Amino acid sequence: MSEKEAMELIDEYLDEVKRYLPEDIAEDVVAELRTHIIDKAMELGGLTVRNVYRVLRDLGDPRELASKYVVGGKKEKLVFELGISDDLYPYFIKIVSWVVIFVIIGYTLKIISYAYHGSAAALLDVAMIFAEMLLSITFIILGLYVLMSIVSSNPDLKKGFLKIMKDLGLEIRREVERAKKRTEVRIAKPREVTERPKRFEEIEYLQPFPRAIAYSPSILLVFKSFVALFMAYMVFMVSILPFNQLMKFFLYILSTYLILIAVIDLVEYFYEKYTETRSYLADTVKSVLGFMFLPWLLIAAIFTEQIQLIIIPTEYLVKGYFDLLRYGVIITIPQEYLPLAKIIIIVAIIAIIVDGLIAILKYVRTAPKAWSDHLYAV
Amino acid sequence: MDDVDIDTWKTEIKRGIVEMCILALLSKKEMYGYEISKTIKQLSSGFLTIEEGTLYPLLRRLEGKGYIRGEWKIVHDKARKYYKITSLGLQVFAEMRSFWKKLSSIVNNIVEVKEGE
Repeated sequence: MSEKEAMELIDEYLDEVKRYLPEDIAEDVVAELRTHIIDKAMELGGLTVRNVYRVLRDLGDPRELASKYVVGGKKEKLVFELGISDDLYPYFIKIVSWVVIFVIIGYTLKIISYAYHGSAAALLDVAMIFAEMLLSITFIILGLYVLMSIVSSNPDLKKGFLKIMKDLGLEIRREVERAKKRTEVRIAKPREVTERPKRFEEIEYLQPFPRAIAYSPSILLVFKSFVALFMAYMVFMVSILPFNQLMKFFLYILSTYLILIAVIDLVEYFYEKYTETRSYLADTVKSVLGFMFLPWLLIAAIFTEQIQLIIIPTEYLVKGYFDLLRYGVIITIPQEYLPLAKIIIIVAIIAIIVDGLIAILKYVRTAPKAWSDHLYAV
Repeated sequence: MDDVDIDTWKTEIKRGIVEMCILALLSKKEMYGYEISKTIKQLSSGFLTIEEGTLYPLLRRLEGKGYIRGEWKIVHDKARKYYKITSLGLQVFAEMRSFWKKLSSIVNNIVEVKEGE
């Protein structure tokens, strides 16, 4: 645990603080904080990683520290950082639950009223109302997430919000107190730092993801990678059948997707094996890869009648995959299944968008929170 | 009033006092941030503590209001930002102090009033 490592730790912390400070005061504030951290660490017994951690823990989360300079300071400015703080999270969940319940009730009434007045056969219209509902819920959740992030980032706004909730009798004391207690326990009973054999285990706390220490990758990743490659090959082989352009486009996207998944799994395995840290970025990228299907799904939503299926005539006994290639007959989707196909496509579009956005939000949210977590973990 | 309310009340009372204490210390001599924090803790026997995460932004705010002025100086081979009180700060401190004296004596009269008085 050398002085150099302690200084690196200070630099990384101060870089984080600087990120959230107004440019005109950033240099001065950081210089002053640096002298403070060094002074206090020296008083605690020297410039070691452990002592520096203690000082940083007292200073708190870099984002929160920086926000104290901005909000209520000379330069009143609204800070925005994606992510909801622990004490506001129960409120977010509660508000989302209520809003979702109201939206569902509203749309259910709309569907019932439509079924009552409209034609019973208009299944697709009902499906569209349903899709509209899911889309509304998605946007409402995202909107609330952004709004609560703004409130979380600004101590004055947060205080105001909590006061309003209290005045309205909507205070969630139990959850907030529990969150506070968890934090207090983490501060009061810091995990003992004993001998650490490798440097990265100390510095690892600086990585965005604190629970990443001593992670050993699963060999399952390699297996999954080979399965994905094999499936990509099979899908590619199917694409030699006389499908129309729409379906060939789909099969090419699917095989490319599977190849990319296989590559990411393999890279993830070696990355995790080498760094002993879990790669959350790989998980995020895999979720975002689903966006590849969006262009095809949008086209398919319009030209649904062009979707083709492969069936095996009953006179053939299918023993394996290659029988499918040999005896498979391509047919277009039956008319009566068109509305169902459209519903599935719309749901798939929404699912891919929501999954991708959640993965991105999760990835972004974890980064600024991490500091407080691993500071408390010391 | 439960524990949480009492804690909030105590914190709010202390917050206002700390500003006055900082001005009081700086009216005697110039000091750097950590020195201010240690001195307050020491003089109050640990009763008044100011978190560092609050102290430095507070100093910056007092500087912004023109009550104190920060200046980088090298003392014993160490560069530190020393704060000194300005004339405006001295005026504000004088007002704070007279208000505090009045307030504390009145509040004491009310709080310490004995039965039958």
